[in-house]
Amino acid sequence: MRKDIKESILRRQDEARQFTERFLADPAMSLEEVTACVHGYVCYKFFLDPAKCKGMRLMDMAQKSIEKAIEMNIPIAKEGEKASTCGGASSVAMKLGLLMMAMKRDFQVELSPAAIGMARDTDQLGELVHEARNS
Amino acid sequence: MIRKSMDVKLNVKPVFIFFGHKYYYEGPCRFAAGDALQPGFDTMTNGFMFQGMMEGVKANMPDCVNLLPEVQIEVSDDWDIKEEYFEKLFGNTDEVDVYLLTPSYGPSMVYQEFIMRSKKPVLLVPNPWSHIMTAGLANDGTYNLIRERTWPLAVTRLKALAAKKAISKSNFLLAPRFNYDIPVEGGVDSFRNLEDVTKLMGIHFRTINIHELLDELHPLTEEGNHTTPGKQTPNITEEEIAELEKYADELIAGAKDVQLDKDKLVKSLIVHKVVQKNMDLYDCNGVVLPCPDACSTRRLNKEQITFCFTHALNLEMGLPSSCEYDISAGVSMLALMTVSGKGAYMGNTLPMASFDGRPLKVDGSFPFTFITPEEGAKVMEIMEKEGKENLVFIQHSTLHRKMKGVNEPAGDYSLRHFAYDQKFGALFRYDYNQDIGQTITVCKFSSDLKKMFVGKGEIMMGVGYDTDNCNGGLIYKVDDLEAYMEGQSWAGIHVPLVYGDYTEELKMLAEEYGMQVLTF
Repeated sequence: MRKDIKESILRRQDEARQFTERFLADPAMSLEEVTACVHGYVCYKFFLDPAKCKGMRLMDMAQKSIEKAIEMNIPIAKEGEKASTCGGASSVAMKLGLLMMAMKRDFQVELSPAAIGMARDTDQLGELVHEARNS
Repeated sequence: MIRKSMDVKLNVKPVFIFFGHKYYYEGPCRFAAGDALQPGFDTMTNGFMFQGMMEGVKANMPDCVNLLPEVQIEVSDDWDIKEEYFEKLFGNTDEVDVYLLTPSYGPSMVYQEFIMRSKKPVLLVPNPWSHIMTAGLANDGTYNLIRERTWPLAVTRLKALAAKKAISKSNFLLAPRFNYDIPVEGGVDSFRNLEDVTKLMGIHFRTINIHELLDELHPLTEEGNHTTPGKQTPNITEEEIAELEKYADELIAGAKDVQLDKDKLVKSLIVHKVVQKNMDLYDCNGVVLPCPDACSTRRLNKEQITFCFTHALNLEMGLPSSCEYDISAGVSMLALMTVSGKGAYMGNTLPMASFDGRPLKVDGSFPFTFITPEEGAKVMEIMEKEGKENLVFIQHSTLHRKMKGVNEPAGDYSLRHFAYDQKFGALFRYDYNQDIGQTITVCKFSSDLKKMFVGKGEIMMGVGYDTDNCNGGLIYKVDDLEAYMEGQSWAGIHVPLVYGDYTEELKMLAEEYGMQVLTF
């Protein structure tokens, strides 16, 4: 069982990585293509099905991801222990924040934290990434 | 212009004060690791939290709230407190009625100073954290800080604040014959001092003498009215009378039973129209008219009118309208109608047991002069079943068709008359028997403005549907008649009611006015 979960996690990490590689390999990508990469990346990182999450709010995706992790018995305690702020951010906001930090690194873009914080969904996130790359 | 109180909105401005670390470091006040320690991380999570919180705020706001654009700031671990923070947070204070503040850990000095500086009430977003962290300011007791533990309580508070605002923007038209505040007979247990009402509640009073008002029931002649010769006054016009003739036909056609001549109905409709024109002229959203004081002039008899239909039609329009020159009943109706969005009903209200607990006679002696023998038998039946000690009786003649809401379809009705002999004075009859089991809320401000009588009951039966005169009403059950009687003994004879349970909103309104709540 544990082996299955580990394999599943690795498979999804690999699928997420494919989106960043596609993004990095094509500097002339259109906004739609960038958004598709961002959407795929976020979904696979969150153990979600990209086809079922189009237009979903980022906060809802993070919430679903936590529920999924609990359902799959993936240990999240370690992440939760480390991920806490003085301001009392929720576990959903923390999970999303950590993913955004990873996304900035993996996509190699500089994004304004304030702008990311106000992004509603992967479409808006895609716009930020596309704009950052082309500015 | 007539501005309905139930249309007044409470302007609420959501305010968010977040905290963000500017640097990477660890120590006794940082609980994160890895990426969560990086500059910018807090800003991101603050943004996500803001999104979620705003959604919660929007989902919880009641209809009476107009949500103003939200404002948020993020302060840092430099612990700086800048004037620009407060300029941004307060915004245009003129348009704000209430700030809805979401504090967090880190910017404590900023949100505390925001509360201390605010000239408007600051309602904390309900959660245990904000409740507990503001204990210091709350204990001080001098700040305009409102703390409710749950969203339902916070929403109830907002409804009470909206009612307070709507009441403060109200003007009442008074038409006395003698005194400005208390009539010679009728609502003699009303407010003792109207200036105190204005000071506490913000309501203003506009006056027209009853004789001047009655003069306006006929088209204006070149000479002007008898009491105001040569003056332009808002008399009824021939065109308006023609319109009211058509309206009378519609009302008669829609009634289940009609015991009223059309010409008498038109005369009553003219009264309503003239009162409406004066309310419009004096920017009033409520009206108080005399009963015994006007009746004894014999002019109502001469004009073949009573004011009952005017009250009923006003109430259906969402405008408080009280009879017997009972201003405190009118203002209590205003409170009930503002929190409920429903037409109120007021009447003589008495327990069905005397103070020593014996049931009152229902054989035609006071206060049951108007109950028919059939109704009396039913009352006895209910008394047997429910216990004599829990029943209250209310009767008057200003029943209307919008008890279930001024924006709801009008209920079934009959048309009857007030005067037994001459059959004038149009009345609606509404059969409360169709609403047996309905919860009602009663409310009345005491004459000294220090107490609010408020509580709920359940309709047990309707009375007077098939009769004329001042006898339409209902009997309702309360949980504790002794407490009810004690409360009403401070509130007076007319106890307005609306359908539904609005007791909590009204209790909070009483709290806003610093009143003692008399409940049952």
